[in-house]
Amino acid sequence: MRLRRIEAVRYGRLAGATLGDLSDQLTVVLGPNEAGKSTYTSLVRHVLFGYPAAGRKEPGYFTGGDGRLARLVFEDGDGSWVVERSEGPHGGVVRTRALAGVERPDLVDELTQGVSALAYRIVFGFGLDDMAAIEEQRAAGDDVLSRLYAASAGLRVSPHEVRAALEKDAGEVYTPGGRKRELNTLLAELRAVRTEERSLKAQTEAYSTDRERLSLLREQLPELRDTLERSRAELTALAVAVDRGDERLAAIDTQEESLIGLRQERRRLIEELDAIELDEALLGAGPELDALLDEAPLYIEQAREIAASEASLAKASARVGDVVGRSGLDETALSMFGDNHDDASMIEETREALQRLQLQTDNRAETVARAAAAAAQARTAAERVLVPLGIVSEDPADAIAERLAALEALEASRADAGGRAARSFDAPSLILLASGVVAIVTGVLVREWTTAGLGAVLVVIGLWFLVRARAGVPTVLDDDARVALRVLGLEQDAGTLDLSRMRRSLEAARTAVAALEAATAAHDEAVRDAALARGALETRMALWRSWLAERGLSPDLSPAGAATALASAREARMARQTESELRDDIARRISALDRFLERLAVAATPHIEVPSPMTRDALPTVVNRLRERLVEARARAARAEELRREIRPADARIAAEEERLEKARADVREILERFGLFEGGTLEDLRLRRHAAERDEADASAAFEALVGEISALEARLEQGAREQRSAELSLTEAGLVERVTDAVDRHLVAACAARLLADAQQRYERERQPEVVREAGRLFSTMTQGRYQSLTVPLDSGRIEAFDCQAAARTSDLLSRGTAEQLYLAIRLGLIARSGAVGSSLPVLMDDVLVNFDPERRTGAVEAIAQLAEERQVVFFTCHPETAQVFRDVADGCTLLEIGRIGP
Amino acid sequence: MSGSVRFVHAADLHLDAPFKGVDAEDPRVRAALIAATVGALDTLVEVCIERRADFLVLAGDVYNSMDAPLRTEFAFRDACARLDAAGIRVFVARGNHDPASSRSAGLALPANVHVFSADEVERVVYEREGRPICALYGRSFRTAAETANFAAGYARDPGDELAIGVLHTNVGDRPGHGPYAPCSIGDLRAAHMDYWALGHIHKPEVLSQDPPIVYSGCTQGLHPGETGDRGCTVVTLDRHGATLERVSTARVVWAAATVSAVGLDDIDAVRGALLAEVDRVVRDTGTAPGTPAVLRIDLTGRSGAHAALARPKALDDLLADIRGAGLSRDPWVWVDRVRDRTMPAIDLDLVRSGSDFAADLVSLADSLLADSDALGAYVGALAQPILGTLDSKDLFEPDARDIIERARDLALDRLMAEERR
Repeated sequence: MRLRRIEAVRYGRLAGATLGDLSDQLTVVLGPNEAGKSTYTSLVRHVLFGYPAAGRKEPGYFTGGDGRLARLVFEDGDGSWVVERSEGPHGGVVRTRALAGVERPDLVDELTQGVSALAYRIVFGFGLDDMAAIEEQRAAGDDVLSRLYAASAGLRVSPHEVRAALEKDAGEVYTPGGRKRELNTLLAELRAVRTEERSLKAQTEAYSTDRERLSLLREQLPELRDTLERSRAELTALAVAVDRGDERLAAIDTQEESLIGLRQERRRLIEELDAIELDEALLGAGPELDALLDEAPLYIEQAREIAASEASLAKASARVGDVVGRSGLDETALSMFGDNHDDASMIEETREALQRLQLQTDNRAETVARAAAAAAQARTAAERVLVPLGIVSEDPADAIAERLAALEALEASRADAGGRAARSFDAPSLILLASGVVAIVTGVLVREWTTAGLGAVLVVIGLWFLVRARAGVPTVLDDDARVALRVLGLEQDAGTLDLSRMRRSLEAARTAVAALEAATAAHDEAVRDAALARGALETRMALWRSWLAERGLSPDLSPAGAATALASAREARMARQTESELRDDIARRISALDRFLERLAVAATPHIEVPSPMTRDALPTVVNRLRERLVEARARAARAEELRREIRPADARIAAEEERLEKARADVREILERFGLFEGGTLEDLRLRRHAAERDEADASAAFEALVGEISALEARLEQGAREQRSAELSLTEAGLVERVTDAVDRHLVAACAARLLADAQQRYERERQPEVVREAGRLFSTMTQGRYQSLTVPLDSGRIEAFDCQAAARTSDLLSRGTAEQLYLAIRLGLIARSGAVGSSLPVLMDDVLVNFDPERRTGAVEAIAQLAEERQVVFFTCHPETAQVFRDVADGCTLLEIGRIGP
Repeated sequence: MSGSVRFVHAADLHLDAPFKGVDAEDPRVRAALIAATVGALDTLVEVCIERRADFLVLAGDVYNSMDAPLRTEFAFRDACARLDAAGIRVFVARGNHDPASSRSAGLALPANVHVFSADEVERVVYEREGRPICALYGRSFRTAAETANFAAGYARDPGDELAIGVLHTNVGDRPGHGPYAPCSIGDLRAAHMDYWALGHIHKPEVLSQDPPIVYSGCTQGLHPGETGDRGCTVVTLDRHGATLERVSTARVVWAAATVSAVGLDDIDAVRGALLAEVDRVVRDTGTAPGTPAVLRIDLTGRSGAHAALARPKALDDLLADIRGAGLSRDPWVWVDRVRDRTMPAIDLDLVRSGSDFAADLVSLADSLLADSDALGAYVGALAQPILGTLDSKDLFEPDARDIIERARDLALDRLMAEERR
């Protein structure tokens, strides 16, 4: 695999530039300054290992816009591939695509297998500034040599790094003298826990003393308890005896005092009983007196009521006189009048009848007057009709009938003779006729005879005019007619109209006469009725006067006056009745009261002072006095009985108390004798013995309590300690810490042993394998220096490389000139690459004008060495010196020369 | 004597024994561990009461030390008082951890407690309603280091209808256990007991069926090595023989597991395997389901996950994660330790056959492993400074072979499995 082209799409100032095609072996790129030689070297490394981020020391070759983009084109016999890296995080995004052949997505990994970015920069793609980096990195602990060797062995990491990591792991656990390491921390914790445990242990020792003391005390406890119980028992017995003796003595005192009291009480009762005087007579009359006293309130009330009734009687008598005086009736009238209901009825009937009859009489008189007026009017009306007709007869009705007959005969005659006259209605006649009829009907209905008469006149007039109108055509009169005319008082030429007029007049006359006759008849009838009414009234008045006379009343008295007199008479009788009843009642009450007073006086006189005679007024006083006397007597009797009842139990109590007193005295004797105190022994002696026992018990109790208290205190202290779990906690913590310590030691040992194994393996490598690299580098260095220096060594414990000259004198690299040192570094690089086997075998070796400090001879030697390397690996050598390019051209056959120009304007 | 008895046989309560080899950070776990031995005693009392035992036999080492913490004495006294209230007697033989010479708070034990004499084998008759039921023979340790054969002093009274021997002893002089009151099974059989209640060996074991010679084991496992069931033996004994029943009393069960990481290529896969082991422990905690457990896991095998596990803090992070998951289980599981014993997926023989740097490394390790002196010196030189910082009680002898092998694997793994820098 060989790098064929380098394409800078967007990469610093190289944007759009392409370098190629590169030779499989040696390519010399000649270009002036600022042609991008160093940039191409960096580009290759960046595409393979990633773009540097901003802020790194090395140039980033940043571009604007879409960011950096560069490509490398690799080829081998199977195809060609583009490795392209674009801008992106973590060094950019790398893609591989096949231009020919199969896709190889892992091509970058294959190319850089075993070679880190740093190793590449130091060994494969370096410039003048990187020449001393091999030695500097080694001095800094990064052994590029071993790194390369590890990579050649297929190891992914440097043994040096692994060893450092393991030593770090081991050191985190423990470092001699190191502080705050894991183990030191654990041990510190463990020591703290154990210190506390020792403290608790000391505390436990104290508990042990307590335990021993407790055991001793427990042994003493039973004996002390027995002593205490014995002394307590004796004390209890003595205390009980003394208490009981005291109790009995106190009882004796109490009982003696009680006896005295009881006896005094009995004596007092008897004296009191003797002092009570009993009124046996009064007590014997008690029931009778009680009955009287029970009745007494009734009679006292009656006495009060009698007094009230007497007052009422006086008022009633006064009222009788007053009523009689106001009525004006004498005693006869008062006795006869109004004593029954008929009088009142009579008076009322008479009053009503007289009123009705008087009214009737008055009405009839008015009717007569009206009928007379009507008759006069009817007469005047008739005269006004009759006179024109010449009728003055006493019997005008006959005259009128005669004339009407004549008229009818005349009309019949004319009708026969002259035909029928045309009929026509005479409106005024009809109106008169209708008005008359209406007046007649109205007058009859309202009994207005004048109106009725006037109506009749109007009817007649109407008829007359009507007839006259119908008789307007003259006729030829016959004899009868003429007679008729004469009767009628008409001329011969009287026409129909005249006849009609005559008829109407006659008819009116006949009506007026009829009305007159009717009015006259009505008047006559009214006169008769009025006479009858007056008669009835007078008859009634006569009867009334007769009735009054019978009762001794004034005949002029009207029914209303009679009614008033009747009321007064009744009131007077009622007043008298009331007066009488009161008088009777008073008498009856006084009689009963007097009987009671008599009985009371008889019964009370033996016991109290009673006035004689006994009066109503004295009744309350006597009753009260008698009652008080009776109550007093009875109270004394009751008290006497009560005293007698009290005296009997007092006797019994006195007897019982005397018995108990004797028993108590016997008890005291028995108590004293129980403790050996016979004759002469007293309770005081017993008390003295109890005081002694109390002292003994107090001593024993104090000793026992002290013992128990100490035991309790010890037990409490021990129990307190028993609850303490700290010791168990610490034990568990200690166990955990010991586990962690053991684990830490184990981890430390494993890591430390692993680091040690690696170090030993490295030493073996440096001892057994490194010389090949160093020998190769020495050979190359000798070639470059034309034998000035013969060999090299790299001491294991030193960061410096030593060169041996032809006199076998060793010189460390820092003592070499700059040019020689650079030749040394170049030789080592070439040796490393030559012996790195498959590691980075497809990576091109890019050198950026690293020969500028070489003199011509050594430059030629270096070029020869590079040419030799190029036979095995692809080498691209950048230079700005044409003479250097010429040396390559001269030394290396087949060397490819590419010339590039300066970038930009 | 006639009838049968039912009693509970327990031993090695080791009240308040400090737990060793555990790193319990979680407060809940710490509290459970601290209370575990006393809690086991409480469970033992409950078993006696629930099973209506006639008496409780304690075959030594009730306390963990001759200077037992006070709280354990109070706890034991209270437990005996509970049994006294239930009418259950307690027979105690002292062991090497709590001999008669131990200091005591002098707390008066209830009247139901009988402690066997340390002078000679003592015979005590258990009576029921005034009638003798069985005889118990026992002897306490006077000192912590009783090396005499106590069993030889036991002899059944011919009149005993039932006889029980109680002894704290190392039968058969078992290695790894203190050689206290040593005896043989023959010695025990010669005493003609109907049942031997033994103590001292913490793992329950029946040495003989006829007569039953039984180590009831400790009531609570005391360190990560005492895995599995721990409890007591409920014995029903009559003239025809004994019926034994194991009852767990442990409040925390210790568990250990080896998880193969072969075929597991990353941390997630390893995590899954570890969680599966946690769940297996949750499901199976011996005869005490529902008992919390402290679990230790060794990851082994050549695994693709080795490199990931070897990364700094990777194992710590994984352990923290697994611990959290374990604590969320019911009952909880405290994953005390996950030890990475995986190896890189590297063919050592292939590497060894090469001629490169790795081959040099393997060759170097091989030469050390082949020479134990050189190996000891190589590791010792590195270990000496760090071990010098430890207290003598914390000192331990590193396993040089194991360390070199792991160091070799670690270095190879870093060299060959590390991602390219």
